[in-house]
Amino acid sequence: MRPSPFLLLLAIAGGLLLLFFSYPIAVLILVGGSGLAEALRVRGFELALLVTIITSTIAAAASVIFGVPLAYVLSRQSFRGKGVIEALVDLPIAIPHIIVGVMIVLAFSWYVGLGPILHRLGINVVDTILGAAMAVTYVSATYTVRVVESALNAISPDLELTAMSLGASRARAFTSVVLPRIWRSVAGGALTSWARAASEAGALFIVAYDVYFGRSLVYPAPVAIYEAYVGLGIIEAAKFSAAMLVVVLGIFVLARLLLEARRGPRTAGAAEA
Amino acid sequence: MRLGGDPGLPALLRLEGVVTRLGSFTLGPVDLEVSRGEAVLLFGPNGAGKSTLLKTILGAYRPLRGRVLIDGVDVTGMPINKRGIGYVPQGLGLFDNMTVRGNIEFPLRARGVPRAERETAVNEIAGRLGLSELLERRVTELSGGQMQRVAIARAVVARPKLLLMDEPASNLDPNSVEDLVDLVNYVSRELGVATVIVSQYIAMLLRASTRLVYMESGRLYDLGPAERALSRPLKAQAARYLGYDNVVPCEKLAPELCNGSSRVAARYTSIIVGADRCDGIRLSGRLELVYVDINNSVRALINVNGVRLVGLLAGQVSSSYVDVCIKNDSVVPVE
Repeated sequence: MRPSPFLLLLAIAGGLLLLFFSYPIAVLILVGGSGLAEALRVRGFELALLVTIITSTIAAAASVIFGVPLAYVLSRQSFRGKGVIEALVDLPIAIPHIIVGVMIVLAFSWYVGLGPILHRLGINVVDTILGAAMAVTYVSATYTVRVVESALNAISPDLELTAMSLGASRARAFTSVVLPRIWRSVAGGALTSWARAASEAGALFIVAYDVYFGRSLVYPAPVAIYEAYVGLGIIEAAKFSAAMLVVVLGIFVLARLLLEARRGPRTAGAAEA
Repeated sequence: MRLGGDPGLPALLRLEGVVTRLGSFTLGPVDLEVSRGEAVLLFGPNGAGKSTLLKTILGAYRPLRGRVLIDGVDVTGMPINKRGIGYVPQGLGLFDNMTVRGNIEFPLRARGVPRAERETAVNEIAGRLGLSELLERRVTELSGGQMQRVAIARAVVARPKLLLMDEPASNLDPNSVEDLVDLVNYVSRELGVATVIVSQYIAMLLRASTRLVYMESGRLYDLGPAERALSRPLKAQAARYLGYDNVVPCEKLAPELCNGSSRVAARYTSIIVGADRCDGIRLSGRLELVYVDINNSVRALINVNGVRLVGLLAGQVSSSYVDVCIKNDSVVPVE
């Protein structure tokens, strides 16, 4: 049977977008691929990747710890001003990330707001792993909130109501009945936040252009690539870019595959308390 | 005011002037009593407030006014998990991450019942409801009827005093509905659980109910036991649910039908189309359609003075205008 012209049009339009996504990656691998192994042997870049992985993982964990409760409240509760909260959740995506960096420095490391208090406690945000993690959490946590909220919206509140009528507390109803249904979405959201955090550069330019890591001062990977581009040219930047892409995409794809693998038959009663 | 309940028995569930507001909808004030062992069938049109009432009793909605008492205890402000109510929601609410056993023992686990007692209770209720062979199966592998049984077993295993069921027959085939009727009878009559069933499918559940309560625009109308409700439906919409095919505005049709009320309800068997003799009120109407119903009787759709009526076709009709006989001793006044 011949496909309808309309479906063909949709396929062409969608295919063009996919091509637009994949073509630059292919070119990058083509240009930088030969120097990929060499880039991964550069000690400074290894540390840069490590810093990026650490800060992104902190961001993903923070997104889950603080984002899942927020998603639950947004999904299950109606209250005055909810629209404002909804907008606030999406705001970090809309703010230019350079501005996010400026805001983080002003809010947590200057002599206004929390800055003086944190200084007194010996907590430094600028050029630290903490600051880098805060910056990338700011720009990436929204994804976890939204993914988890969508998953929760797909679950009837009647399910929790039933669990509570059966004697379970709200917390037990959540952990026994809701969490087993949304854990893949939580993991998927965390992974998306992780990938978004790993790819962040703009906010890091302001908050953590380089960070104290052990005894070294290390650029986060996106900043290191920018440095290579400015100092050594686009071919060198391509090597480091290809190396970062392979590492970050490798972790991302591996985690996705693991998630998919867990999609098989579930163990009966696995989620029971 | 006592609305329903067996006067000889203390009410297990008692609603006193309950008013619940949900957005622009107001439920109540509602007064209702349900005794131990009673099965109340609550029916009415969509948006009448049936599920709101059920969830108010359950504790999901806090009433604006009034009190909810279970076994004499005021539970109005009590959390859901402390009320001791069995609840079967419309979608059954089975936990698909658990086996049948996991589902049934959930309320016992939640209440901290020791393992040995849990086992005994689960095996006993599973045996009574024909679920023994299915205990280790995942609930997603069950048929609709089996799922219904699991939901009921889970709701009653901790021996609640009150069972609430929201549209339990909505996704069941006729055989499974028969099973459901038996289950409800077992729960209410043998276990003595006061049961409130919300359903649009009342014909199928009449055998399971001891009393019918009609709900419209947030208000309750107690119609009494099935026999009484079927002969005195009180409200026009309730009459429709109870098998009355016609709700007739008397002024437009025949004022002598009504005896002061504005409308009467009549079953199709009370309106004879094409009859030679008539013991009631004889009218003339235009025949619109002749069809066979599920009981294999031939019905006629007729238009009398702009009012459409469904009647029983008594014989052959040769013209599009036919004689219509309304047996006025078998029509009932409705609001």
